[in-house]
Amino acid sequence: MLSQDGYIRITPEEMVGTPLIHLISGLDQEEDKDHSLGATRTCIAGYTEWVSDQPPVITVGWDWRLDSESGDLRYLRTSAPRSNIMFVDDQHVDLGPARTEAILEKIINALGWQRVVHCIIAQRYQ
Amino acid sequence: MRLVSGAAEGLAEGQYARLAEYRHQVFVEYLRWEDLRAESGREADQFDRSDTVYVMAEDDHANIIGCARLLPTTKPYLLGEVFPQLLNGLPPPNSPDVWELSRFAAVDVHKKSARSGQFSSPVARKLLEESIGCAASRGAKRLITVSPIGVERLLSRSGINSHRAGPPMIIDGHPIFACWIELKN
Repeated sequence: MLSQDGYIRITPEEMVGTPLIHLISGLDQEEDKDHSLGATRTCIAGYTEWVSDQPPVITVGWDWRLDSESGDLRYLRTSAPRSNIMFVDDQHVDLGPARTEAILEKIINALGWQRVVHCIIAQRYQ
Repeated sequence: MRLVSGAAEGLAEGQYARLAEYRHQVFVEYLRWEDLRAESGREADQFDRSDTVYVMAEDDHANIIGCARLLPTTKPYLLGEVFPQLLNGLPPPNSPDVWELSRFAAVDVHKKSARSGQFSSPVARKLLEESIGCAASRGAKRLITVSPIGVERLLSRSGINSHRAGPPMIIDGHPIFACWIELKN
Protein backbone atom coordinates (compact mmCIF):
# COMPACT_ATOMS: atom_id res chain seq x y z
CA MET A 1 0.00 0.00 0.00
CA LEU A 2 2.87 2.46 0.82
CA SER A 3 4.94 2.85 -2.33
CA GLN A 4 8.57 3.91 -2.57
CA ASP A 5 7.51 7.23 -4.10
CA GLY A 6 5.68 8.07 -0.86
CA TYR A 7 2.16 7.58 -2.18
CA ILE A 8 -0.28 5.31 -0.39
CA ARG A 9 -2.03 3.49 -3.22
CA ILE A 10 -5.58 2.53 -2.35
CA THR A 11 -8.88 2.08 -4.15
CA PRO A 12 -11.66 4.60 -3.49
CA GLU A 13 -13.72 1.82 -1.92
CA GLU A 14 -10.93 1.01 0.53
CA MET A 15 -10.65 4.71 1.35
CA VAL A 16 -14.36 4.99 2.11
CA GLY A 17 -13.92 2.15 4.57
CA THR A 18 -10.95 3.84 6.28
CA PRO A 19 -11.89 6.06 9.23
CA LEU A 20 -10.23 9.48 9.29
CA ILE A 21 -9.42 11.02 12.66
CA HIS A 22 -8.98 14.71 13.26
CA LEU A 23 -5.35 15.60 13.96
CA ILE A 24 -5.18 19.37 14.21
CA SER A 25 -6.95 22.49 13.01
CA GLY A 26 -5.69 26.03 13.22
CA LEU A 27 -6.25 29.60 12.12
CA ASP A 28 -4.21 31.44 9.54
CA GLN A 29 -2.64 34.74 10.48
CA GLU A 30 -4.64 37.44 8.79
CA GLU A 31 -2.62 39.21 6.11
CA ASP A 32 -2.00 42.81 6.98
CA LYS A 33 -4.63 45.10 5.57
CA ASP A 34 -4.72 48.82 4.88
CA HIS A 35 -6.75 50.26 7.74
CA SER A 36 -6.51 53.86 6.55
CA LEU A 37 -9.94 53.53 4.97
CA GLY A 38 -11.57 52.48 8.22
CA ALA A 39 -13.01 49.16 9.23
CA THR A 40 -12.36 46.18 7.02
CA ARG A 41 -14.02 42.81 6.92
CA THR A 42 -12.15 40.16 8.87
CA CYS A 43 -11.67 36.82 7.21
CA ILE A 44 -11.47 33.87 9.54
CA ALA A 45 -9.70 31.10 7.72
CA GLY A 46 -7.44 28.21 8.51
CA TYR A 47 -6.51 24.62 7.88
CA THR A 48 -7.54 21.22 9.13
CA GLU A 49 -5.62 17.96 9.13
CA TRP A 50 -6.97 14.41 9.35
CA VAL A 51 -5.18 11.06 9.48
CA SER A 52 -5.99 7.36 9.44
CA ASP A 53 -5.42 5.39 12.63
CA GLN A 54 -3.30 2.57 11.21
CA PRO A 55 0.14 2.58 9.63
CA PRO A 56 1.08 3.46 6.99
CA VAL A 57 -0.74 6.64 7.88
CA ILE A 58 -3.02 8.34 5.39
CA THR A 59 -2.86 12.12 5.73
CA VAL A 60 -5.39 14.55 4.26
CA GLY A 61 -5.61 18.28 4.85
CA TRP A 62 -7.39 21.23 3.38
CA ASP A 63 -8.04 24.92 3.91
CA TRP A 64 -11.31 26.42 5.04
CA ARG A 65 -12.90 29.75 5.82
CA LEU A 66 -15.80 30.78 7.98
CA ASP A 67 -18.59 32.20 5.86
CA SER A 68 -21.07 34.56 7.51
CA GLU A 69 -22.45 36.34 4.47
CA SER A 70 -25.49 34.13 4.22
CA GLY A 71 -26.52 34.98 7.77
CA ASP A 72 -25.58 31.58 9.15
CA LEU A 73 -22.04 30.63 10.10
CA ARG A 74 -20.74 28.00 7.72
CA TYR A 75 -17.34 26.43 7.30
CA LEU A 76 -16.43 26.22 3.63
CA ARG A 77 -13.58 24.23 2.16
CA THR A 78 -11.41 26.65 0.14
CA SER A 79 -8.67 24.45 -1.27
CA ALA A 80 -8.20 21.13 -2.95
CA PRO A 81 -7.27 18.38 -0.52
CA ARG A 82 -3.57 17.81 0.10
CA SER A 83 -2.62 14.22 0.83
CA ASN A 84 -0.29 11.28 0.34
CA ILE A 85 -2.96 9.29 -1.50
CA MET A 86 -2.98 8.02 -5.06
CA PHE A 87 -6.21 6.22 -5.87
CA VAL A 88 -5.94 3.12 -8.04
CA ASP A 89 -8.50 1.08 -9.91
CA ASP A 90 -9.22 -2.61 -9.46
CA GLN A 91 -6.19 -3.41 -11.60
CA HIS A 92 -4.00 -1.25 -9.32
CA VAL A 93 -3.49 1.31 -12.08
CA ASP A 94 -3.09 4.89 -10.88
CA LEU A 95 -6.15 7.06 -11.42
CA GLY A 96 -3.84 10.10 -11.44
CA PRO A 97 -3.67 13.26 -9.31
CA ALA A 98 -6.74 14.98 -10.81
CA ARG A 99 -9.14 12.06 -10.33
CA THR A 100 -7.68 11.32 -6.92
CA GLU A 101 -8.34 14.91 -5.91
CA ALA A 102 -11.91 14.81 -7.21
CA ILE A 103 -12.71 11.59 -5.33
CA LEU A 104 -11.11 12.90 -2.14
CA GLU A 105 -13.22 16.04 -2.34
CA LYS A 106 -16.38 13.92 -2.35
CA ILE A 107 -15.12 11.92 0.61
CA ILE A 108 -14.29 15.09 2.53
CA ASN A 109 -17.66 16.62 1.72
CA ALA A 110 -19.35 13.64 3.38
CA LEU A 111 -17.09 13.71 6.45
CA GLY A 112 -18.99 16.17 8.65
CA TRP A 113 -15.70 17.92 9.39
CA GLN A 114 -17.25 21.33 9.96
CA ARG A 115 -18.63 20.46 13.40
CA VAL A 116 -15.31 19.05 14.53
CA VAL A 117 -13.33 22.05 13.27
CA HIS A 118 -15.74 24.46 14.92
CA CYS A 119 -15.32 22.78 18.31
CA ILE A 120 -11.55 22.55 18.00
CA ILE A 121 -11.13 26.17 16.91
CA ALA A 122 -13.45 27.42 19.64
CA GLN A 123 -11.44 25.51 22.26
CA ARG A 124 -8.02 26.33 20.90
CA TYR A 125 -8.56 30.05 20.50
CA GLN A 126 -10.91 30.89 23.34
CA MET B 1 14.33 41.45 -8.28
CA ARG B 2 17.44 39.41 -8.87
CA LEU B 3 17.95 35.70 -8.22
CA VAL B 4 21.36 34.42 -7.15
CA SER B 5 22.43 30.84 -6.53
CA GLY B 6 25.52 28.84 -5.73
CA ALA B 7 27.63 27.28 -3.02
CA ALA B 8 28.95 29.58 -0.30
CA GLU B 9 32.46 29.95 -1.76
CA GLY B 10 31.00 30.96 -5.11
CA LEU B 11 28.88 33.79 -3.70
CA ALA B 12 29.96 37.41 -3.75
CA GLU B 13 32.05 38.70 -0.85
CA GLY B 14 29.91 39.16 2.24
CA GLN B 15 26.84 37.59 0.66
CA TYR B 16 26.89 34.41 2.74
CA ALA B 17 27.11 36.48 5.93
CA ARG B 18 24.16 38.59 4.80
CA LEU B 19 22.22 35.42 4.02
CA ALA B 20 22.90 34.07 7.51
CA GLU B 21 21.70 37.35 9.02
CA TYR B 22 18.57 37.28 6.86
CA ARG B 23 17.85 33.70 7.93
CA HIS B 24 18.16 34.73 11.58
CA GLN B 25 15.78 37.63 11.05
CA VAL B 26 13.21 35.40 9.35
CA PHE B 27 13.41 32.05 11.11
CA VAL B 28 14.34 33.20 14.61
CA GLU B 29 13.09 36.74 15.08
CA TYR B 30 9.99 36.58 12.90
CA LEU B 31 8.96 32.89 12.94
CA ARG B 32 10.29 32.32 16.48
CA TRP B 33 12.16 29.07 15.78
CA GLU B 34 14.06 29.53 19.03
CA ASP B 35 16.22 26.43 18.58
CA LEU B 36 17.97 28.26 15.78
CA ARG B 37 18.76 31.40 17.79
CA ALA B 38 22.41 32.45 17.73
CA GLU B 39 24.09 35.22 19.67
CA SER B 40 25.88 36.28 16.53
CA GLY B 41 22.56 37.07 14.85
CA ARG B 42 23.51 34.71 11.99
CA GLU B 43 21.59 31.47 11.53
CA ALA B 44 23.42 28.35 10.39
CA ASP B 45 23.33 24.66 11.24
CA GLN B 46 25.32 21.52 10.56
CA PHE B 47 23.88 21.29 7.05
CA ASP B 48 25.45 24.57 5.93
CA ARG B 49 28.52 23.03 4.36
CA SER B 50 30.84 23.70 1.45
CA ASP B 51 28.62 21.66 -0.88
CA THR B 52 25.36 23.28 0.24
CA VAL B 53 23.70 25.28 -2.53
CA TYR B 54 21.90 28.52 -1.72
CA VAL B 55 19.29 30.39 -3.71
CA MET B 56 18.53 34.00 -2.88
CA ALA B 57 16.19 36.69 -4.12
CA GLU B 58 17.45 40.27 -3.85
CA ASP B 59 15.57 43.52 -4.33
CA ASP B 60 16.81 46.46 -6.36
CA HIS B 61 18.99 47.57 -3.43
CA ALA B 62 20.65 44.14 -3.13
CA ASN B 63 18.75 43.40 0.09
CA ILE B 64 17.91 39.72 0.46
CA ILE B 65 14.15 39.22 0.31
CA GLY B 66 14.01 35.45 -0.04
CA CYS B 67 16.15 32.37 0.40
CA ALA B 68 16.24 28.63 -0.03
CA ARG B 69 18.77 25.92 0.67
CA LEU B 70 19.48 22.82 -1.43
CA LEU B 71 21.32 19.73 -0.23
CA PRO B 72 22.11 16.44 -1.98
CA THR B 73 20.58 13.44 -0.20
CA THR B 74 23.81 11.49 -0.75
CA LYS B 75 25.22 13.34 2.28
CA PRO B 76 23.61 14.27 5.64
CA TYR B 77 20.57 16.48 5.27
CA LEU B 78 17.87 17.91 7.53
CA LEU B 79 15.03 15.48 6.84
CA GLY B 80 17.26 12.42 6.96
CA GLU B 81 19.03 13.36 10.17
CA VAL B 82 16.41 15.26 12.15
CA PHE B 83 12.92 14.49 10.77
CA PRO B 84 12.94 10.96 9.29
CA GLN B 85 9.63 10.26 11.03
CA LEU B 86 7.94 12.50 8.46
CA LEU B 87 8.46 9.77 5.84
CA ASN B 88 5.77 7.43 7.18
CA GLY B 89 8.19 4.57 7.81
CA LEU B 90 10.08 4.73 4.53
CA PRO B 91 13.86 5.18 4.73
CA PRO B 92 15.18 8.66 3.94
CA PRO B 93 16.17 8.93 0.30
CA ASN B 94 19.84 8.59 -0.53
CA SER B 95 20.22 9.23 -4.25
CA PRO B 96 21.88 11.68 -6.64
CA ASP B 97 18.42 12.03 -8.20
CA VAL B 98 16.96 13.48 -4.99
CA TRP B 99 17.84 16.83 -3.42
CA GLU B 100 16.39 18.44 -0.31
CA LEU B 101 14.87 21.91 -0.28
CA SER B 102 14.89 23.64 3.12
CA ARG B 103 15.08 27.05 4.82
CA PHE B 104 12.62 28.42 2.25
CA ALA B 105 11.31 31.92 2.92
CA ALA B 106 10.25 34.97 0.95
CA VAL B 107 9.89 37.72 3.54
CA ASP B 108 11.00 41.30 2.95
CA VAL B 109 12.32 42.11 6.42
CA HIS B 110 12.85 45.74 5.43
CA LYS B 111 9.16 46.34 4.91
CA LYS B 112 7.06 47.51 7.86
CA SER B 113 4.61 44.72 7.34
CA ALA B 114 6.77 41.66 6.75
CA ARG B 115 4.08 39.30 7.77
CA SER B 116 2.03 39.10 4.64
CA GLY B 117 2.90 37.06 1.60
CA GLN B 118 5.58 34.87 3.09
CA PHE B 119 4.55 32.02 0.84
CA SER B 120 2.06 33.66 -1.47
CA SER B 121 4.00 36.47 -3.12
CA PRO B 122 5.43 36.55 -6.64
CA VAL B 123 8.87 36.48 -4.98
CA ALA B 124 8.01 33.16 -3.32
CA ARG B 125 6.90 31.68 -6.60
CA LYS B 126 9.98 32.85 -8.52
CA LEU B 127 12.24 31.68 -5.71
CA LEU B 128 10.62 28.26 -5.81
CA GLU B 129 11.00 28.03 -9.60
CA GLU B 130 14.64 29.08 -9.37
CA SER B 131 15.30 26.53 -6.63
CA ILE B 132 13.77 23.78 -8.72
CA GLY B 133 15.82 24.82 -11.75
CA CYS B 134 18.97 24.99 -9.66
CA ALA B 135 18.45 21.48 -8.30
CA ALA B 136 17.58 20.11 -11.74
CA SER B 137 20.80 21.54 -13.17
CA ARG B 138 22.64 19.50 -10.53
CA GLY B 139 20.95 16.25 -11.53
CA ALA B 140 17.87 16.27 -9.32
CA LYS B 141 14.77 14.51 -10.62
CA ARG B 142 12.85 14.91 -7.35
CA LEU B 143 13.03 17.24 -4.37
CA ILE B 144 12.07 16.41 -0.81
CA THR B 145 11.24 19.27 1.49
CA VAL B 146 10.40 19.71 5.16
CA SER B 147 7.90 22.50 5.16
CA PRO B 148 5.20 24.31 7.06
CA ILE B 149 1.75 24.43 5.55
CA GLY B 150 2.52 27.66 3.66
CA VAL B 151 5.06 25.97 1.40
CA GLU B 152 2.65 23.14 0.70
CA ARG B 153 0.01 25.68 -0.32
CA LEU B 154 2.56 27.44 -2.53
CA LEU B 155 3.39 24.16 -4.26
CA SER B 156 -0.27 23.42 -4.79
CA ARG B 157 -1.05 26.89 -6.19
CA SER B 158 1.99 26.86 -8.43
CA GLY B 159 0.78 23.81 -10.29
CA ILE B 160 3.95 21.96 -9.35
CA ASN B 161 3.60 18.19 -9.21
CA SER B 162 3.97 17.55 -5.49
CA HIS B 163 2.48 15.42 -2.77
CA ARG B 164 2.93 14.68 0.89
CA ALA B 165 5.40 12.04 2.02
CA GLY B 166 3.55 11.33 5.25
CA PRO B 167 1.51 12.76 8.11
CA PRO B 168 2.65 16.02 9.70
CA MET B 169 4.50 16.51 12.95
CA ILE B 170 3.06 19.17 15.18
CA ILE B 171 5.74 21.62 16.32
CA ASP B 172 4.77 24.59 18.47
CA GLY B 173 1.16 23.91 17.56
CA HIS B 174 1.71 24.00 13.80
CA PRO B 175 1.96 21.13 11.32
CA ILE B 176 5.23 20.43 9.53
CA PHE B 177 5.23 18.14 6.48
CA ALA B 178 7.65 16.37 4.22
CA CYS B 179 6.63 16.88 0.61
CA TRP B 180 7.85 15.34 -2.58
CA ILE B 181 8.30 17.59 -5.60
CA GLU B 182 8.52 15.79 -8.92
CA LEU B 183 10.73 17.58 -11.41
CA LYS B 184 10.20 15.37 -14.44
CA ASN B 185 7.28 16.13 -16.81
